[in-house]
Amino acid sequence: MRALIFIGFILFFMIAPFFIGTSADTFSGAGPFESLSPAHPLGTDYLGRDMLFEVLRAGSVTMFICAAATLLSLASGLTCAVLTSALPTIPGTILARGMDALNSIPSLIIAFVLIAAFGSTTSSLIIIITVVEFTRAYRSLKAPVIQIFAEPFVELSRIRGEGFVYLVTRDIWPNIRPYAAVELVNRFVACLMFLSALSLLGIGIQPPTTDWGTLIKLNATGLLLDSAAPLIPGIFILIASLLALLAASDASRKLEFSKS
Amino acid sequence: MKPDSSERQHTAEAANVLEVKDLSAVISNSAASARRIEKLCMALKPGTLSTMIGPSGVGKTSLCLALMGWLRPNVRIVSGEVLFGTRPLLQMHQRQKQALWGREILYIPQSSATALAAPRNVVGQISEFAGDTAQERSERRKLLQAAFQRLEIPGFDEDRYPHQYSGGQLQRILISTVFCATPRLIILDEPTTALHPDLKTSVIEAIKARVREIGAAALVISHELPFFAEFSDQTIDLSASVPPAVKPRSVRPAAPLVGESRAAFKPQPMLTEPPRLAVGGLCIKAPSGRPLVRNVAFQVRPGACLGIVGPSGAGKTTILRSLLGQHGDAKGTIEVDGQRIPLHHSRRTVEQKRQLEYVPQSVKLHLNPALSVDYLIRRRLRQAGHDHSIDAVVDALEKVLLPADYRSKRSAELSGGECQRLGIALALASHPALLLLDEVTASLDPVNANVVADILDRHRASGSMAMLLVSHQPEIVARLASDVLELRDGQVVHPVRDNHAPSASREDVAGSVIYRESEPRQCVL
Repeated sequence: MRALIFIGFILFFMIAPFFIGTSADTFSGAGPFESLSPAHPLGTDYLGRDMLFEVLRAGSVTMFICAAATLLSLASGLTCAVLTSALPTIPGTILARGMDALNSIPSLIIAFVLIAAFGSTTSSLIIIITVVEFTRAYRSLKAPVIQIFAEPFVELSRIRGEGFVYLVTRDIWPNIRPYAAVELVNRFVACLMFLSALSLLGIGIQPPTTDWGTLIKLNATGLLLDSAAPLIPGIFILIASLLALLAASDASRKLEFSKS
Repeated sequence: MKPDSSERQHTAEAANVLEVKDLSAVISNSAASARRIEKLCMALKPGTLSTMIGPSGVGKTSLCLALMGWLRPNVRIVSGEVLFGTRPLLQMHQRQKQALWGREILYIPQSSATALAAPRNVVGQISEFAGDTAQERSERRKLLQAAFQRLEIPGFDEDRYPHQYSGGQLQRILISTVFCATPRLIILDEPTTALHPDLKTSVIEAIKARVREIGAAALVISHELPFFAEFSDQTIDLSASVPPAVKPRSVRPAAPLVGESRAAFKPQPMLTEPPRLAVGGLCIKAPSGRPLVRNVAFQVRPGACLGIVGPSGAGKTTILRSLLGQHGDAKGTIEVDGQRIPLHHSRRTVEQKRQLEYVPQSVKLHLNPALSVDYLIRRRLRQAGHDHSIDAVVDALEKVLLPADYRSKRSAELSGGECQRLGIALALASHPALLLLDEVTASLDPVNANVVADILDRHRASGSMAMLLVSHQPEIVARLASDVLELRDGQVVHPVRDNHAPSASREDVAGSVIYRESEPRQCVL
C-alpha cells in the first residue's frame, strides 16, 4: 500500500507536465517572488512564473532521471554482487576489489570528471549518477547474496549439477528480492539527493530545463526578499524522500516476514 | 543468577514452575490451513522432567515457544493463560520476557546445526551470558568444561567452531548450556534425535540429575515416547488437545518396525554383477590436518543398501559428503558403475553428478524456500527425462504418502516429517543410480519413520538403485541395510570378514575391509 503511494507519486510527477497548458517561456504577467495567492497557489518565481507549474515541470525531469538511474544502478549493482560471488576466485576477487576502488573515490569528484567529459545532458546525468550509486547498491546487496550462496540449498543445487542460470534465477533471485526492494527505495533517495546536489552546484540540469535542485538555485535570491519560492522545491524533495522511506518500511516488513 | 537461593528454594517448593490453564491457540502453517490446540492444561513441578508428545506437524515447537512468551507470526493465542511461577507470562511486556529468557527460561532448539553462530567459537558463545561479571564468566567456563566431559564432547580447549563438530556433538553442546546456567524452566526441543542410543540414555540421565540439582522444571518435546516415558515424570499428549476435525492427516498405519518379516523382498544380488559404487582407500583430512576418515573401502551393489553406523563424530557424514564431492582434498577412488569419477564436484560432469542423489539430515534447510513443491519435483523429473505432467508430480508425492494438494506448498509450510518425505520424493524423482541417505529418519516420530522406511524399502527392492544409509537408529539400519559398515574415529572397526572378499590385501593398509552383499545381515550397534 505504502509502496503504491510512492509509485503513484513518481508517476504523477512524470506525467504532470502534459496537463500544464502554458509553456515555460510564456510571460504570465505576475511580478517576481509574489507570495501565495489563489491565482498562484505556490507564489511566483524569480521571473514571475507560476511556481506550481514550475515545480511540476521540474518534477518530471527529476523523477525521470532518478527512476532511470535507480533502476540502472540497482540492476548493475545486483549483477556485480552475484558475479563476484559466483565467478571463480580470481576473476571474482578482481571484480570485487575493482568495485571497492570505485567505491572509495569521493562521489562528487567522479561526477565532476565525468560531467567535464560528457556534459550535463539528461542521458549523461543518468549514466553519471548510475556510476556513483551502483557501487553502493553492490555493497549493500553483496552481503545477502553471499549469505544465500552459502545456504545449504544452493550447495545442493551445485552438487546436483544445476547450471549458473538456474542458480541465479531460481536460487538467488527469489530469495534476494525483498533485499533488492529495500535497496531500490534507498537508492532512489540517494539518487534524488545526488541529482539535486549536482543541480544546486550548477553542474546538473542546465536552464531552461529545470529540476528541483536547479529551481532552488535559480530562486536563491528570493531568500533575501522573504519569498517561499526557494523552499518549495526543497519541500518536494523532502516529501519524495519521506514517501520513499515509507515504502522502504513496507518492503522491509516483507523481508522480516520472509525470514520468519 | 540474581535471586538468592533461599528464596528460590521457597518458591520452588511452594508452586509449579509453569502452569498452563485452558490454553487454546491457533497455529497456521500456510494461508489456507490452520491447526487448533484446545484446552491445553499442564503444570510443571520443580525438579521434574515432563515430555510433550504429539504427531509431526501439529505445532509442538511453535506451542512451546509460545509457552515461553515468544509468539511466532503464525501463532495466535485465543484464550487461557500461562503462569511462570505466579506471574502471567503472556501479558508480560517484551522487556520483562527478555529478562527471563536465557536466565530463568532456557530453550534448547531442535536444529543444532543452525542454532550456533558459525563465525564464533563454540565455547565462547555458549558460556557468554549478558551482564556477567568476570568472576561469573570464569565460573561458567568451569561448569561448561565439566559439562563437556560429562557429555563426552571433545575439544573444549581447542577453540573449535561449530563446523568442526558433527551433528550429534553439536546437539550435546547445546544441551551443555543446561549445566552452566541455573534456569527454572528448561524447554528441550527434540534433544536426542542426532544421538547414538547409548549416549541418549546417559545424556537424558545427566539432564535429569541437573534438573533435580537446581530445582528446575524440564519440558522435553519429543516423539520418541517409549524412550522418554521411562525418564519423565509426566507425559503431555498434544494429540488429545487437537480437535479431531482438523487433526493432521494420519499416515497409513504401519506394522511395528521390529519383528516384521522382511525376508520376502530381499533379492540376492548376483555376485557377477559389477558394484554400483566402489570406494577404495578413502582418506579425508580436516583443514587443520586432523584425519576425519582413514582408509575406508566398501562396495554397494544395485538393489542393495549399505548402512554406515558408528558413534557421533566417527566420520559417517564426512564419507557421504566426500562421495558428493564436497571434500576436494580427499584421497582414494570412487567408482560408480565401474567408472571412476573425480573426487571434487567441480570436476565432475553433470551426468556424473546426477547419478548420485542426496537426502540430507534436515531436508528443510536444503530446500529453496522460494520454490514450490510442484516446481522442484517437476524439474527433477524433467532432468531425468521422465514425464513431468501434473499426474507424474502427484504420483511422486503419493509415493511418499503426501497428499496431492501439497503441490502448491513451499518448504516453509511443511513440518519436519513432511519435509523429510518430500526430500525422498525429490531424490526418487530424479531416478538416481545411488541414493545417499543421511539420518533421514532421525527427526521423525516412529509412525513417520516407519512410513519413510517402508517407502525406502519398497524402492530399494524394486529398482536397480543402490542405497547408502547413515543412521544411528538400529531399527532403521536393521530394517533397510543389507550390510553394515561400522566406523569409529574415521576407521572401519569390527570388520566382518567376508569369505569372498577379493584381494583385500591389495589395499595395503590394515582396517580396510570390503563388504559384500552375500554377507549375513547384521547390525553392529
